[in-house]
Formats: sequence, C-alpha cells, structure tokens
Amino acid sequence: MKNYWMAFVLFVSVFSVTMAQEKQVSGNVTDQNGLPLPGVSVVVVGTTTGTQTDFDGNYFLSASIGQVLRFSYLGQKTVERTIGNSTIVNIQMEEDAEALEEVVVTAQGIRRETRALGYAVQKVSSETIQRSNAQDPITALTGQAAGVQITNTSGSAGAGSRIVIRGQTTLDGDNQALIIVDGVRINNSQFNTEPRTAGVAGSNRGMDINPNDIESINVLKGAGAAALYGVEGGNGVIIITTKKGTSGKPKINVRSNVMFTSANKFAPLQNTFVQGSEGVWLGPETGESGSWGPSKENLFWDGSNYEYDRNGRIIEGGENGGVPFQPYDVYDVFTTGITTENSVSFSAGSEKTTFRFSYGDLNEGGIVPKNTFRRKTMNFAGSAKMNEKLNLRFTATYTQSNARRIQQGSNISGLMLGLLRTPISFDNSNGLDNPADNSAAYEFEDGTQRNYRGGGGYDNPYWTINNAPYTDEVNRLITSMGIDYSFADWLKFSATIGVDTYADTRVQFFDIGSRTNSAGAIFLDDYNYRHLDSYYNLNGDFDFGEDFSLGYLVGVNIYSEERTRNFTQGNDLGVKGFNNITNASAVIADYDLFREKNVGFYGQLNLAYKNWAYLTLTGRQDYLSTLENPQNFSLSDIALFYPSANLGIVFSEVFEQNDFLSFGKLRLSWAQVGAGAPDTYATTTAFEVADITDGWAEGFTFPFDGNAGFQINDDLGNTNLVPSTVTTQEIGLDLRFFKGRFSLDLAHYQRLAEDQILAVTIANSTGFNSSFLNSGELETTGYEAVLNAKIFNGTDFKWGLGINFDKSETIVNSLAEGVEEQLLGGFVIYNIPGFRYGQIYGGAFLRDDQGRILIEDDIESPNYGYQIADPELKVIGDPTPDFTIGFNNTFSWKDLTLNFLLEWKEGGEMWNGTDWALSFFGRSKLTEDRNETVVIEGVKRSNGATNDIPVQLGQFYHQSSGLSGFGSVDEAFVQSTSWLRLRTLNLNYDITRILKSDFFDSVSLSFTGNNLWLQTDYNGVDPETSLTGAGSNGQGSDYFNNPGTKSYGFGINLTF
Amino acid sequence: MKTKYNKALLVLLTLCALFSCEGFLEGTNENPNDPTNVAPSALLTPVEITLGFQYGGNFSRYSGVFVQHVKGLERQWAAFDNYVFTAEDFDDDWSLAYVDILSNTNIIIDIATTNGYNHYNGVAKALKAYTLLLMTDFWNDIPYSNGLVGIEVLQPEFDEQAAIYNEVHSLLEQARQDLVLNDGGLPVTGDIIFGGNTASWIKATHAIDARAYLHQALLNDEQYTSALVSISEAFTSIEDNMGVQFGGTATTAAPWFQFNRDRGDVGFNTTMNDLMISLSDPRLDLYDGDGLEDGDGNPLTFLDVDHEVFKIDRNVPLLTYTELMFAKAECLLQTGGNPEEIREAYLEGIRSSFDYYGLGNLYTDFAAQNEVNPLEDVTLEHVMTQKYLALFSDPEVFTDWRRTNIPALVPNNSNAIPTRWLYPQTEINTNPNVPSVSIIDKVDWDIN
Repeated sequence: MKNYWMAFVLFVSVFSVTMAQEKQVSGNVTDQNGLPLPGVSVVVVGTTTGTQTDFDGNYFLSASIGQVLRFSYLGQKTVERTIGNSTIVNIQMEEDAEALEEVVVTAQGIRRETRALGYAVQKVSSETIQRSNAQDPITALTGQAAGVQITNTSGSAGAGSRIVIRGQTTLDGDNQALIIVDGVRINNSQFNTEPRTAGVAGSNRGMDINPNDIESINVLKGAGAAALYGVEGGNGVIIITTKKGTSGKPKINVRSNVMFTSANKFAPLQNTFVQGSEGVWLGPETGESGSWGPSKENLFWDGSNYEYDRNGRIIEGGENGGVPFQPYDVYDVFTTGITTENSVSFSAGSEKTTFRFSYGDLNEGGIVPKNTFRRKTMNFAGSAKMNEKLNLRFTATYTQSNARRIQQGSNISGLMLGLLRTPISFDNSNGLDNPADNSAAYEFEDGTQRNYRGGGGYDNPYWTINNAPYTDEVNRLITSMGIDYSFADWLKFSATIGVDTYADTRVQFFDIGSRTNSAGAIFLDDYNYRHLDSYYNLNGDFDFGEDFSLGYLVGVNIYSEERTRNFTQGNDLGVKGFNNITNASAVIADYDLFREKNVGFYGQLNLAYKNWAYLTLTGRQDYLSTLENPQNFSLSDIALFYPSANLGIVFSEVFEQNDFLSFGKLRLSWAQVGAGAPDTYATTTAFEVADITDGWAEGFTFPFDGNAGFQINDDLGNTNLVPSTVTTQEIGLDLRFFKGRFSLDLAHYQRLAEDQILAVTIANSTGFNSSFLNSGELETTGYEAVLNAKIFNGTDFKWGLGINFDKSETIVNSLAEGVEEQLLGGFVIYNIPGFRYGQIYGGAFLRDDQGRILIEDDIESPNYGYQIADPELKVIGDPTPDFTIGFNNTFSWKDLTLNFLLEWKEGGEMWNGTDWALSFFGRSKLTEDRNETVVIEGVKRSNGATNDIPVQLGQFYHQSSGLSGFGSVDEAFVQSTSWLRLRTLNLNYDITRILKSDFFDSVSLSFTGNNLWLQTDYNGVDPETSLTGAGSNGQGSDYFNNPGTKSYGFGINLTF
Repeated sequence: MKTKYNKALLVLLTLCALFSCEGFLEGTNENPNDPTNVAPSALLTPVEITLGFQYGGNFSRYSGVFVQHVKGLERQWAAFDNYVFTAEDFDDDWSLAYVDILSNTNIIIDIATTNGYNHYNGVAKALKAYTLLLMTDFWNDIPYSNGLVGIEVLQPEFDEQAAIYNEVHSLLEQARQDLVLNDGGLPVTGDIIFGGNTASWIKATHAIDARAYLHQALLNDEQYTSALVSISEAFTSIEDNMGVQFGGTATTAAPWFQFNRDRGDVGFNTTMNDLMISLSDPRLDLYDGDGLEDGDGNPLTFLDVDHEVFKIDRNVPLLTYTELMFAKAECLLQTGGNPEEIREAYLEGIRSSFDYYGLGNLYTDFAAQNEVNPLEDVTLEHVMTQKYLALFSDPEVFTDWRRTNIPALVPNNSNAIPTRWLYPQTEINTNPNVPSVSIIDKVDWDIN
C-alpha cells in the first residue's frame, strides 16, 4: 500500500509540471435532445489533460487558447473544438448512426462491427461483470450470454466453475471454452490430487483473473467465430480484454465489498428416529451405522456418565427421572462465511500512452469452518502509441492464491458423508460452543476419534475440518506483450506473445486416526505449468472503387506447453498432528512431464459489398506434436485444415429507412474446426509403475521390498489418432426496432463432431482396460434468442430488460464399434448412443410391456410386495435441461439502480446419490414413514393385477431389498433439477450528485445478493452442483456434495 | 523510416526461418514419464502381488460369504450376504486377472522366449496356468484363444472350460520343461513366491496340476488318480507352500487387512463359529477376530486390523501342503484307497494346519476327539469338514463345497447359495460374446 501511494505522488507531480500557464475552461454537454450527457470524455488533444462530464453534463478543465478539446461518447459523434477567448465551451452532441454499431472483439483480437459478422458474438461489458459481483470472470458470465452454460460446481470457498458454450463437442476431451486474454490463451485447468468423486472442491485456473481488471468479455460461440483458432476452437472462445487505462486525468478507483454467505439449501432428513436397528437404540460404541432405532417420542436421556453424550444414555420412558430426549441438528456444523473483496486501481494516460495498475485482494470464508480462499492479484497494463505507425501493448498479472479446503464427496473423510449419516441422537460437537476449535468435540483424550460409530465408520465432520486439511498455494504470472506496426492501410504487422506460468503447490494431510488413512498420510502434489503462445499477423484493407472493400489477415500461431507434476505420498505417520512429509515412514514419489507443441498457419479474407453484404472466409492448418508423425510441415502430411465461410446480409439497407425495423441482418455461417487434440503420449503404450486395487481398499503400490514393480499400461496406445472434426452450420437473425430500442437476436445452429477421440473401455479380455480410438459422433442442435429492450427510457425512470434464451441438445450418435456406453464420471453418468450427452444410466424397476412397475407377489420372496430390480441397466435420467432463460432487469430511478437476474432452468435431472445412501442409514426424509403401511403402485408380477399388497418401507426395504439404499436400483433417486432462482440482485446508489464533492468523481454504494431465492423440487442441496468438479464431463450426480450457497453483502465504489 | 522497414523485414525473415525449422515438433511426444522396456523381474513381482491380492482378497471374501466363513454385515456387503450381486461387482476381479496378470505374464513369456530366459518362462507359465485355472473355476467359459492380443481383436470369443483345463495342464508341462533348462543367463529375481527356486516351482506346477485334476474329477473318476500322482510330486511340508508375502506398510498391506482397515463391513460367521465351538477348535480364537481375551465373544462384530489371521504382512496362501493332504485323502477315498493311508493324509492335513497357525502343541488334544479322528473309517464328511476348517478364507473351500456339498450350508434369506461368479459388467458392455448366466448357474465340472 505504501509503495502504491508513493507511485501515485510521483505521477501527480509529473503531471503537475505540464499544467502551467493554463486557464479554466468549463461548459455543458447535451445530447441531440438537449438532455445533459454525463460521462462524456473531454480531452485536450495532444496532452495528458482530460476529464469527464458530471451528472449534469458539466465539465471543468485547464487548457490554453489554441488547444483543441475533443468530446467523445459512445454512440455519439466525436466533436472537436478549438479553444478561443471564451472560457465556456458548450456542446450539443449528435447521435452517430454508425457508432450504434456495437464493436466486438473477434478471433485474433480483431475489432469488428457486429454488422459485418456472419456469426454470433455476444459482448459482456465491464459494468455487467462488476455488477455480478462474481469473483472470477467465468462466474461473471452466468446468465449473461445465451448459449453459455456456467456451473458453479460447489458452494465451497475457492471451488471452480465450469464453462461450456453451446453444449458438448467432445466425448472424452475438455468441453470447456478456450480462454484468450489480451490476445493469447490462458490455462484454465483443474488438476485433481484425488479422484474427482472425492478429495476437495478445487479451483479452476480461470479464477486467477480479477474481474475488476476486465474491460470486456466477448463470447465467440460458434465454430465460424472460432475457426481461426483451429484445433483449439471447437468449444468456442472467450475473449477477455483487460483494462489498459484511459487518456485524461489520472483516476483512482477503490472498490470494497463484504459478503455474508450461508448454505442455501440442505438435504431433507428424518428427524424422528435415533441410532439403532430394528427399533432398538444402539449407541455409538456399538459401531451401528443406521438410524433405525426407536422414535424419539418416548425417549429420555438417563444422565449417566457416557463418553458419547453429556446427557447420558438413551432410555425408553422416563420413569427413572430422565431428561426428555431432544434431537441434535447435524447442520449446526455450517456457519456464515464472510468474504471481503478490496481492490484499488490507478489509471492514467496521455493521448498516446495509457496505463493502469491494480491490486485486488479477495478473502473468501466458506460456510464450513476453516474453509478459506484468498486471492491477491496485481495487474499492470498499458499501451503506448510511439508514433503514427507503431503501437505497443503490455499486460502483466501476478496472482497469488491460498486456499484451505475440506474433504468432500465420496470418501469416508468427506465432510457431508459423516455429517449426514450422523443420527439425531449423536452430537458431533459434543455440546461445545466452539467445536471447530476444540478437539474435545471430535477426539477423546487418548487421541482416538469421537464419532457416532465408536471410532469406526466416517470421520466426525469436525475431525475432517481440523485433521484432514488440504492447503494449496498458486503463484502465477500471466503476461501478454504486443507490437503493432502499420506500414500502410493495406499492410500492418502485429505480434502478440504471451507467457502463462504458475506453480500450484498442494498439501493434503490426513492425521493419524483418520478413517481414510488410519495410519495417517500426507500428499504433496506440485504442479508447474508454463506455456508460450505467440501470434504473428499481417493484415490490411483495400478499397476497390465505391462498392467493394477487402480485408485480409495471414498469420502463424506458435504454441508450446510444458507442465510437470511432482507427487509425493507419505504414509504411516510417526507423530500425531505433525503435518510434514518428514513425519512419514513410507514415501512414494512420482514425477511426470507433459510437453505439447502446436503450430498453426491461418488466413482470413473479408469482403464487403456496399454496406450490406459481408463475406468472411478463413482457413487454418494445424500441426500438432501429439500426433504420431507431425514433424514434416508439408501439406500432404497429416493435414488438419480447418476452413470457415461466414456471410452477413444487412437486408434492412435494401428497404427504405423506417422507424419500425431500423436494422435487420441475416447471418449464415459454415465452419469446420478441431475439437481437442490427442492427449500427450496417447500414441504409444509404455510400462507404468504397478498399482493394484480391487475397488474395496486403498490397494497396493510399488516399489515393494526392493522390487521396482512395473506393468504394461492398461491404456493401449493408438498410433493412428487424429483430432476430431467439428462441422457447424449456423443461421442467425439480428433485428433492431425503433432505432435500437428493442433488439432481437436469433440463432440456430447444428453441429456434427466426428471422429471423436474416445478413451474407450475395451473388453478386459483384450489384455487392456482402455484405448484411444477415433470413433464416435456427437450431434448438437441449438436455438438461442437474445432480446434487449429499453421498456421505459424516461429521464428519471428507466427499465431495461435483457432476456437470454438457450436451448441446446447434444445427441451421442455413436461411440466406438461395439461400445454401448461410456462412463463419464460421477458413478452413474454415461454416454449412451441415441441419447443426449451424459445420461443417468443405472438400475431401474422392472416394468411390464405397458411400462407399469411390476410388484413381487411371490409370498416366499423376502421382497414380497416390493418392486423388482430390472437386471439390465437403463437410461433413467437426463441432466440436460430443456431450456434455460435468464431475465436480466435493470430499473433505474435517478441515481438508484436496481438490477436483478432471474434464471429459469427447465428440465434436467440429477442422481441423488446422497438420498440413495441416506435411505440405507435411515437418515433420508424418505425413511420417516418407515412404520406406515403402504401399497406400492404397480401390478403384480404373476398376473398383472393391480397391486394390493400392504407393505412397510422400513429397514429391510431400505437396507436389504436391493431396491433402495446402496441397492442396484437408482431409479427412485433420480430427481428433477428444474429451478427458478434469483441469481443476482444488485442495488446501486450513486451518491456522487448528493455529495457534490470536488474530490470524488463518483461514489456509489451497493447492496448485492446472490442466490437469495431458489425454487426447486430437488430433494437435496442446491442442484447446481457437481460431484466431479469443473473439469469433468460427467455432470448430474450428487453424492454427499457440499451445499450451495446464498450470499448478500455491501459494497462501495469510489473513483477520484 | 527506411531502417525501420528493414528492421521489420528482418523480424519477418527471422520468424520465417524459425517456422521452416522442421525439428520444432520433433521428439516432443516422446514419453519421458514411463519406460518402454523393462526387465522381466520388474514385471514378475506385480504379477505375483496381484495374484495374492486377488486370491486373498475379493475371491476370498466372496467365497467366504458363500461358504459362511464370514458374513457381510454392512452396506454392499449386507446385500452380498443375501446373494444380491450385480455384474459390476465382478469388474475389478476380471480386470485384475486379464489386465494386471495375464497381459503381463504374456509379456514376460515373450521376453523370456526371445532371450532364452528359460526360468522366467517357466515361472510365468506356471503363474498363467494358476490364474487360468482360478478363472475358469469361478467363471467357467472365458476368453483365451483369441484374447489378450490388444487392438486386433477387441471382442474375443469365449473358450469352453474344458479347453481352458487343457491349456492349464499344457502350460504346466511346458513350465516344467523350461524350469529344468538353464536360466539363459538371467536367473529369476523379483520372485516373492519362491525366490527364484526352480525346484519349488516344479513342485508348485505339480500342485496346480493336482488341484486341476481334482476339480474335474466329477466328470471323470480317473482324474482322482492323476491328482494323486501329481500330489506325490508336489509339496512335502508347509515350508513348500505357495504363497505371496505382503509388506508391513499401508500401501503394501495384505488384502484382507486393507479391506478391514478401509471398509470393515464384514464379520465372522456364526456357521463357522458354531461348528468350531462344537469341535472345541482352538483356531477359532485366530479366526473370529475377537482375540484370545474374549474367545466366545460376539462373532458378529466387524473384522478389523487386529485380526490374527488377516495381518498386515500376511503371507497369502495360494496353494498349500495342507490343501494337498486333504486332496490326497479325498482322492484315496474316491478311489477306494487304504483307510489308514486315508487317515494319515487326513490327519496330516489337520496337523499341518495347526502347525501353520503356530498351534502345533494343541493338535494332539484336538485330534484326540472322536468327532475329529473317529474310531471308524474317516469319511468324506470328515475330510471336507476339516478342510473347510483348515482352509479358512481360502477360495478353494468354495470349490470344495460346490463339488461335495460338504458341509451342508443353509442359504441366507431362503435364496440359493451362488455357485459361480457373474461375468463383469465391463465385459458385457464391450464384448457381445459374453454368455448369459445367473449366479446360481454351475460351471461345467459342477454336475452335482
């Protein structure tokens, strides 16, 4: 902070020197209707002096006679005035019809008017990003762009988010969009230390960008837009442009927020029956797992000395003077997380040189005690126009993040696993006020674990919080440097070189006595990543007479990436509580190096006829190191050529100008791009260090007893692999009515992704588990609509509405030959030919020809009166929504602005594995009615008659019938995740006008809420959840996932 | 201005030069993380460990539940105890056999054949034969003749059990031929079963032969005689036992220990408990998991890390002298052998089991009981019951029970006790040749 102020003082003194011998100029700026225009940039041409008009359109600055003032404002024609003797310069600006054209950033950083595009690009402005209060650029896009699906994978502090544009393009590879920051790609990986279904909720590396540094995000949705990125463009591209500072007077912006976060929804639990079995209470010392004990109604604590409960043992009836039993609430573990975010930026610039420096500090506290995430970012960016021909650009961001995360998901140290299974008769906190900080809650004096199964079973949640911490630290530097040199309009050279490098250092500790690692374990997992991405372009424009103009671009992209993973696992710890690898008596280490290089040659031709027909043709040829024989750069070699053609017809130009339809354009696009190169080393089969597991226990790892221990890799290499090909057709309509007051953008696309690189499970009898094959086909059809309307546009009151509609489905046309299913992850999420991507595939109830559930009516059967398990697995659910709509409303009245985003997701299902497991333990809400007699709807197996057999759905049904908890039938646990939610709410009050301060340019106060309201039928945590995290294609499964969150908070934003 | 143009041109030319460098991508995809050639010794240890991990792990647990040595109490194991299995429950076992064992024994055999490492060849063939026998006894028909060839045959066909049995005997014969040759310059190391001792391996090949003959004897009486011949060439004491020694650390621990440590859903079975109490069998204290202090304690608690058989560094028996002695007694009984020879083999089986568990001093008292050592002739009931007690948690007991129905077991929950493994879901999903079976179907030799 101190350094920052020193720099500020230095800059101010530099600027002061140039401000001699000037007079005060002031004036008022209005629009074409004579209304005051705030925020107009006023610059003294050729100097660093400049300002903005205030809310009444007034400005003041110092300038000399003869100097030129330039007034500019988006959507208005720029005006220049030479200063004469008068000290007052009033300006009425005119609407600029041309400037109405939104300018977007397209592939290779080329700014183009949307008018000239034959494909869909949606721009998200910095205001929108700031308003969302999101902590990273990916989350900020939630609901803001049609066709962009963001999934916040967990409510944990520092958890990642997943971005998929227009559905899936690959069966096996990464379906997430390519992220380009200031012209070069950045890495958005999420590496996993433990299996995706367990471990902790990690970050994806897109989180390292401070959203406050972003000027705009442009979403290149289709292949047509992304074709210049070749083999990397298949999933769409997010183009992020960071702030580079503005000309004019130096500006300091300070932004400060505090947010209060709590869980927004919990899984419903039964609250009647205590620990036990067959209606009999069994205490923790018995190790009993279930809550199949007696009802709480007639239970008492006997007050005896009992190490598992301060109130004593449980007895039925209170004849002996016991205290009536009161259930404990397992959710008491959760707390309110407090998150603060502070950032300051300083920007300044002259006509030719601008720069911006920012520092951001995000300190996130989770809803689980001791779950924290802290990110500090330092960004320096600028540009310098050295002369008329030469321009330099520079951005550098240094990010440091630290997290402390909590074990979750499917592992017996997972927080929710132990928490939700805990009976109502066991107090995980041991009656303490500060259980997260007092080991008496989760440990006995001898250091053994205090949990509801007498030390067996699962970790006490407070044990997990304290004794199984995962900490990570990421240090990252992202830089982008560019040079633009203009030889002539028809020949411009630009080069952009970016380096992205980070070290991600992780430590997972399991203290001695942990249920997953009873002897204790420490994992040190270090990732070192770096890539160099560079683009060298030549471009230019030609005009041919009045009617034709032509632009071209040719370039080359050179990319090289290297990452290492250094994994050390220490087992059998010596001293309890000592989190250091030296504490391990057995250590296993693994080191991996991955290298990739890619060279792409590309070109683009833009043809414009008059101002209504625009044709863009592109082509890119890629060479990849991950193919078997890529060295030879001849065209006849493995040619990965990706072309595209895009046509924009502004048909409104053909008609007379009219007020109703002020603009109308038809877009047509066809493109072919790649979707994912083969993984590194996928073409060969090597030996690997032997690792043996039978799925029940941790398994056996080498080396052992002085023997190295290798086995042939169970993934069979394939020398014939090539990237898959994605062909997209897109048609779009861009309509604007009443001079742009209403606009409607429609898009329809069809996409075929062929020759998928698929890690196919092959029959083990081949000697291998899997191989990569080029096979399989995905077909996506989608519709998008973006409506923007200024419903009211008065002087004081304004109401703007933006609607993003998205409907997209990807059908798996085929997998590999003979492959009828592909496990994507999360236990039950599979690709099945003929169905949508990522189906829930599992056990179903047996049905008759008419689809009626069959009921076992063999009186000898233990399952008499129950359903019957279908021996074959079936598609039982579909996580893909039918459609999503985001309603973005902005109301403003004078200086008060209310913005909220309402999100409606219709359809989509999830496997509620939490409920599935909890019904076994008698904790699910489903088991509350255990003693009631019901008749299950269905028909009798033997004769098809309507079922009339009364049964109880009690302990036997949920534990042993195979139809419920941990049984083979998943069907009953597939639930709709349709939701309606108030995604964000933002109330902003600009008090600049009230303050009338000379010091502040603007001051605003805000109230922000996220997820304040959620309406869903899902019977568990917030259904926006992912067991397997951001990096997995297997979405739609919930197995003891941590709850999602809602938050509210306050912020202040100062500029001076 | 002109100099600037020149500079720009220079930059461009430099870049062009860079791109024309054809070596830019070359070598990038060479895998530095994993070796492409390894010594056969490095492959041998994992194969042996896998076999021990499998035979002494899931094969032992499923078999143990079926023959009521142990009982599934919790979660999936509660369902298994009611014989509710899905094909997926056999995925890992199938994969361990094909991918971790057979794929690698084949590579060892290839390397050994190419280089003339005869002893490696013999050891790998013996291990392969053992594995194939195990697989066909539990799965009946299995892919073999056009399996294990990688991408060329993605959907191998299933060979009948009889063909697999022929292959087992043939591999064992080949193994013996290899083992009597010289080592081709590379003695066997990394062998945690017999430490590269060829004599021990030759005995083991006979022991495996004996087991195979006995299994098929229901189909053909002569197999009892063949088994007796093989037994005479095989192990002569428990020192000869074929077993896999596990380590003392968390990740090198023996399979049952790992299971009890990481899952703990299985307890000791009352069937076994009651039988052992009725015979005052001192091995109960070791088997039941409760320790000596409360020998008659509740047998239904979870087995845990303190179990006295399922120790962290257990030597998991694959095929023992004890088994062979009971097999000898059975073969003699079935072929009308001398009653005293039968009794001798039978008692040797019991005695060697007591020795194995370090209870040799208690053998005499135990064998003094008439229920154990009857005044009348030893019957098949005696032999199979004592084998059932001696081979606690050994999957061979499940095969014995299927062959002889001794001891008579009452199924849990009125279902029939399974008589085979299901084919795994992974194979069903990827290979259309998988026969359709139920868990109560019988394998070809099981004509009971």
